[in-house]
Amino acid sequence: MSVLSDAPVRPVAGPIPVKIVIAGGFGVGKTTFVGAISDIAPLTTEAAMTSYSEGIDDVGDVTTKTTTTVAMDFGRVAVDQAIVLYLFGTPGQDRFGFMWNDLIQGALGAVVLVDSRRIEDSFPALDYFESRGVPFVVAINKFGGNMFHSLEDVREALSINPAVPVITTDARGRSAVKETVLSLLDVVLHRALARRSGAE
Amino acid sequence: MDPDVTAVRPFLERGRALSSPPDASGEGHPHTGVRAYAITRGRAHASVHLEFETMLQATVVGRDAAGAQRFERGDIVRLCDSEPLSVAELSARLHVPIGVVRVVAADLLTEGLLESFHPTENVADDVLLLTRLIAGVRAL
Ligand SMILES: Nc1nc2c(ncn2[C@@H]2O[C@H](COP(=O)(O)OP(=O)(O)OP(=O)(O)O)[C@@H](O)[C@H]2O)c(=O)[nH]1
Ligand SMILES: [Mg+2]
Repeated sequence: MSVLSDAPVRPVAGPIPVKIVIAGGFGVGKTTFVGAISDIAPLTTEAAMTSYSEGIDDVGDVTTKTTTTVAMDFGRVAVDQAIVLYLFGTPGQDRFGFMWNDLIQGALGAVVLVDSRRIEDSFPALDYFESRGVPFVVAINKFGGNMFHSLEDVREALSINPAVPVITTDARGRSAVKETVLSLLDVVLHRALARRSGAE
Repeated sequence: MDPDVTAVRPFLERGRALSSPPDASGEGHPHTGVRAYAITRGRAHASVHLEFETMLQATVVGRDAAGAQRFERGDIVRLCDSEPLSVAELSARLHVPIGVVRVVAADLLTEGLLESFHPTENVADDVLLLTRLIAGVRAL
């Protein structure tokens, strides 16, 4: 192949990357979820996350800044000829909240995965997305078995806004994962439409 | 959103600690840190802002110059020679922290060895793109 003859060929439009975040406690099925829909086996990368915890100690009000390295799994789906959807799976890990600002920058929204036996593990992620107004859906990973609580009980335990969808999913199942992603995208689209009509 | 809705979450009363690290995290990539940081010449900030999902591809100039690039510079240009790859993918495949890829790739962009495909601005308001995305995911 000649470099010269190829040189003028510049794609009119390149790929369009979009991303969503898959959050939840440790071992809830984030990587499995990403892998169920990804074109590539989930990859792992490291990112520095800065968290700020505020509190009062002997010397008065303090804001402690901690930088930790967090392993993040992610996958990639070619959605059509241009759109490439990235799914980033990352744990919520700080009792006092955590800063994912870098990751969440430009993200369409988040799927918060919940294990119904350990509902509270999802609280840091819920707090984070709520406080930043990031659209999210709650997906209870059934781990192939039965729910330990009814959807309504889980919703109540999570104490989330009634408008937030709470659904069940199977992180190992491609179609369940697809539906879960679609339910998030639906929320995102409806928000966009609401903002648009509000602006008119 | 109603702020009261979240207030009742027993945030600090959970019985379980959440901070046990994932199994694999101990492995890490211990060998890459020093050399990777050396090539950023001590800078922590990139000249061009790249998101995790920003995609990069070698330009014709970059492909020709790949052999002359050292360390991560050459690795990055070669890896995204045939297809565009995201910053996150480059980081994962090279076992180099994302921050380092950002700095090095920003230089390569500025020098014309790479071209970039950025995420759409205000994507959450882009009804057309969202509609297309939904149709595409549904058809997967
Ligand atoms: N039976 C069953 N096992 C599952 C399911 N989802 C995940 N698992 C298993 O649960 C374990 C944890 O799943 P991961 O996908 O690694 O969870 P994760 O949230 O990425 O975990 P960390 O990254 O360590 O926080 C793995 O052994 C999975 O195979 C499920 O739906 N059913
Ligand atoms: Mg994982």
